[in-house]
Amino acid sequence: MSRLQHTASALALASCAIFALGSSSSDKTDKKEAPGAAASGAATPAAATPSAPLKMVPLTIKLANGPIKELVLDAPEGARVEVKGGGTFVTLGTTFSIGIARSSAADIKTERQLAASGHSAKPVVDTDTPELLVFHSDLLGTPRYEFLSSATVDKVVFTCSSASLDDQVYAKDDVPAMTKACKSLRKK
Amino acid sequence: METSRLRRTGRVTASIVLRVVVPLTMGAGVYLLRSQPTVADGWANAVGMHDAVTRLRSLALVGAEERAPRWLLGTLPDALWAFVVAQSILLIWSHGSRAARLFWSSLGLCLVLGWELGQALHVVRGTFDVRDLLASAAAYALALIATPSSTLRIKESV
Repeated sequence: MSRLQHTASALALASCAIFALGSSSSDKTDKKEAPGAAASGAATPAAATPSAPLKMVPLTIKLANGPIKELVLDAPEGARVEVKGGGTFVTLGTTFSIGIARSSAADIKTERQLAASGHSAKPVVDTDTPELLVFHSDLLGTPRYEFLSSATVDKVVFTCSSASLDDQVYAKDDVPAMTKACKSLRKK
Repeated sequence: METSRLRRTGRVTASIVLRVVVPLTMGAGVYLLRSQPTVADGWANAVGMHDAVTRLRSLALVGAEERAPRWLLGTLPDALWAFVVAQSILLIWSHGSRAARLFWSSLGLCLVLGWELGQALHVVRGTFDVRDLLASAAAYALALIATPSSTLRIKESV
């Protein structure tokens, strides 16, 4: 009886762990996999639908220097903060990655001019407001969307832009979640 | 004799349903309100249940995720899961060594707390939230406290 109970207990805990694993969020929301998601089993109906809203939760970012030590923004659940190469990145899978940095009004103006001029071909500007610049360019036939936004938190100016550590290409549908996250930047 | 065995089996089944299946189903149901995909969605796809999951999700009220409070979507499933872990161990050890029950209950608690803390250390998928940790610990404690060993015993005779 006791041996059976021990086995049952081990199985129960293992089952609970598998259940917990199953309920954890999937990072495999790769837009490249989305069309064949049902076949591969990697994504879900929500992931396959480009406009499916992400669940946004408050995420704290610690800043090494400057008057503000901590910032909060609404990021998709499961997003991670990475500090690399002097930049702070908030990423989730391959469809969400933003870079946040302390800046100034003059720097932002320069960055906007550089972004709007493009690297090789002049990009098409989709949105151009004082706080947000969304533009896209053609990358071997695929539109590559980027944005640059600014936020002032407690009189400190930050830039928040589409920036990933691995030069990810974003689709148009990826942009709203990222700009929404940038817009939610606030002091903790 | 046969009747008492049947009644005992019925009580065991009822206990498993009430203490394990119901809270587990409730927790899983919450995930249908959430638009964010889970690992289980991938499993469902792999076994050809993609359409069934899609239909279940479509039954959820449109915009329910936006209206639902944070604790319902994020914390409640964790608490229910922790409750189920504790109840599973208590059910299995309703008869038998107290030391063994204590050992497995401790192991269950380690699993519950470890799962949450593992998220903080990025060794487990998910976003760490101290509220989830506290709710899970509270639910685990509640399951242990609110289910004294005397009530666990499913009597042989009726």
